[in-house]
Amino acid sequence: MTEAPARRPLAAALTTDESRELAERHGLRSLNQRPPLGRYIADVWRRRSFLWTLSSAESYAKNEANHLGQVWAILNPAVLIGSYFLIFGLLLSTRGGVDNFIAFLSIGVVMFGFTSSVITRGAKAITGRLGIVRALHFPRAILPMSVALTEFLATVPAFGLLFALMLLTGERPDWEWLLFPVAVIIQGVTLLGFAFIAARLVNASQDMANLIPVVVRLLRYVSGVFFPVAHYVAGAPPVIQAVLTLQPFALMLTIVRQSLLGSEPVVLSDWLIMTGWAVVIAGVGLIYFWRAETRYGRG
Amino acid sequence: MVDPQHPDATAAKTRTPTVVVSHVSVTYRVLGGERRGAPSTQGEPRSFRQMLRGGGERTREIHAVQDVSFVAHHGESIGIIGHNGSGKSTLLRAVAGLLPPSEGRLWVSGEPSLLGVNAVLIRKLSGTRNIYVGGQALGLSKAEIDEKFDEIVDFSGIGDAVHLPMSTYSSGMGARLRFAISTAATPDVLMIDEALATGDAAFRKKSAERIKAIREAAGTVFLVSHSNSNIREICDRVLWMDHGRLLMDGPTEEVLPAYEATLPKTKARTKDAAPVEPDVPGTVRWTGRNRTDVAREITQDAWDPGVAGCFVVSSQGIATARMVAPIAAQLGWPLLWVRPGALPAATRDELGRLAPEHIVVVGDDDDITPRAYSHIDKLAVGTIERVAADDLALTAARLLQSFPPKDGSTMYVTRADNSATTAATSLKAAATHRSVIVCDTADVPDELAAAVASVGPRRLVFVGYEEEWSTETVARLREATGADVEFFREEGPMAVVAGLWDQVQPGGRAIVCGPSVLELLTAAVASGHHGTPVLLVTTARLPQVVRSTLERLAPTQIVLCGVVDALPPDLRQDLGQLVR
Repeated sequence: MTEAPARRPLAAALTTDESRELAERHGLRSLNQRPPLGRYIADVWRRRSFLWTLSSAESYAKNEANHLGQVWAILNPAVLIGSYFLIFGLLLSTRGGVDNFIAFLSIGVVMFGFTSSVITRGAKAITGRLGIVRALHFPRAILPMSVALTEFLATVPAFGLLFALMLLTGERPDWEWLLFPVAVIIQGVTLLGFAFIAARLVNASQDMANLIPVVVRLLRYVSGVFFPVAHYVAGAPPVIQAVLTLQPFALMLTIVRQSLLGSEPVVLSDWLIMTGWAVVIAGVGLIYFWRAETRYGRG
Repeated sequence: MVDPQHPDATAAKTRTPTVVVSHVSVTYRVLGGERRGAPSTQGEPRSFRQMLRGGGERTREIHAVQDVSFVAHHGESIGIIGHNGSGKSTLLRAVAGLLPPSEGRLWVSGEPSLLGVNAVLIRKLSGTRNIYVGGQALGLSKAEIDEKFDEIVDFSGIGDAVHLPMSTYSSGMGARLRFAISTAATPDVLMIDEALATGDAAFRKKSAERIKAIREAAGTVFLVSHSNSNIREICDRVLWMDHGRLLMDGPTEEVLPAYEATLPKTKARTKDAAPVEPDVPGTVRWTGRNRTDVAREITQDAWDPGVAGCFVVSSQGIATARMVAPIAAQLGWPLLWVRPGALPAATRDELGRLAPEHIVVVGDDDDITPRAYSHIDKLAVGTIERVAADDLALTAARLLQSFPPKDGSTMYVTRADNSATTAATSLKAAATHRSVIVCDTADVPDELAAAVASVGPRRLVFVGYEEEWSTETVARLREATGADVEFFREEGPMAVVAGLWDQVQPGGRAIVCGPSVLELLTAAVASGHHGTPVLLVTTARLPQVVRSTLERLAPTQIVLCGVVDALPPDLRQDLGQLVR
């Protein structure tokens, strides 16, 4: 029999209220409750060097796995640009009245590549890191942030390719090129917001992980990667036009094109709307992610 | 600091709490798909979600931890003990904040750090980078880690391997490095789940010293261990968990002896004089001086002389034997045991009696020395073959190639550790003609991937928690086969074994095995030959799941398979009540 012959009775357990009082008196942290948002953000800020360590380690591991390493970061978009140019530029001729189609297309491919990798990898930010999530405590928001940063670092060589292609196709540097980093930051912040949302969705249900690549592919076709959206929806009702041209995934490409292409002047309203998207999506994403803080990596 | 009105005030004087656990319960919801048509759940409407998952799977609730309350203080080291499946590890995970309690509240001080079986943070990164990632996640600054770096590497004793990816580490190396990282920051609360079992005596000594230092620095240490001597050495307080409830909470010197009194004393008694016990009508006991004696009773009962073949495995190579048992069951060949350097008398007798036409010896020279092998060779009347490989994964590959399973649709994958659960998995595989492979490495050898692919399972069941498995291992086997991957964890080994016999007609005989894996595997093979249901009882008390299965089976005879210490007379009395 499992019962011990003579055993000390258990001390009477504290009631929930007594326990709470005892814990609060000694400044213990509740594990059932997420920290207040302000403290959460402060926690993330305190771990910023951790964020950097994690992201640079990731980038390093990514490159190390391939023999050509960093070269792929350029080769990959270059091959994509080449094949899309063949299909959309030459075979289908869907240039939509763009003067410098190669430059237009390469911006679409490189910048949407950034979008696609942040969202698909951000979706697995928690589920792909269960080892660390289940072993250590830190604000989980670090993980999607690290994915966004890692993917940004991984895209930097492709930005170099972009500038090379601009010059080769006859674009000339002007002051608007200085806006390029601003556009990249706005895009990165927006994508981080989506990564937060995707990471929580996939953590709640792995099935979502299968859906996200489909959504990203759909976005690739409707966001003007290969052709100017405005040109093709010119005859549509104004509401549809606005939705298709001002949705964040299309608009983030538009503002990059405005900064780099001589044929597309900078339109202030586009930049302001895109900044608005960035603030709202990152904010909503962070809050949405934070609300499930105690549920990550469990089950 | 101390509130005089507090009920625990006298004890808590000068002590401040680090962990407050208040009426915590943890409930798992599991898919009970492994049990074939469990009668209790039949007829329940299936939810849409279950239908989406496909198959006839039903969810069941398992109350792993029920209404547990305690307060841990600075400077305490607390052992958590209990039988398998008593909820020790679940409690630890809940306190670490890694499993949500379904009820109750808990509070902790600082960042609790859990050291479990899965030691690796990010497998594809080098040890060096893992030190920085882990240290910073624990709140150390980069400069602090720079300062402690050499100390961490020295302590872990992994040397230059720190520059290699952690996927190349053995599980012991990984655990040592994790221990060094997690304790570098002197955590407020450190939780250790069996991690001290890894590593050599020197590392165990070093880690015990470090735990002492953490306690002196006013931290709290929790330790889950099956080794009572470990607990005695390290812990000053013990929580005794039983069936998910906290049974006792007090000083080690009080709780541990009380717990030990309930354990079967396998080693304490003299081996020669088997203790006399009263006969219980309807029951018989197969016993002997040691485990191989008991195994002989099983094979003697099941096989007449002149068998087509038999397998010989080593009592030192239980993991190998777990893979062999389902194969032997499928072929209807007996499983015989040797010790690394010797052939036990019981096995010698059985080899002589059975006179197998073919003998397959499985195990390398560590498991079965050349001397023991030559012994078997001399006794062989027919052909003899040896399956040996440097590691378990390669052995698994060879076995799959030579003896493919009848039912290749599902394959069970276990790690190398031998628990009642992994043994129960072999029993399940034996009963269903499926195969078990043991894979304890992140680098799945090509040979194993190819062998698994050639069987072509549609479903791979990894035994254990998902995080205990390296993602590389899982991904590699998934890629090799394209199979669906599942993790099997919550159901206890006794329930797994009891759930295998739903289709057996009532009446006839039933075999009950104790906690010794050797007997259980031997019986699993015999059961594959003659179809007698085998049940597992690892506790001194007859668990409800075994009782209800026996009630349904209504056996005319119950065979207790094991020495009196493993299956005590009281249990035999209980079993006697169940005979028709």
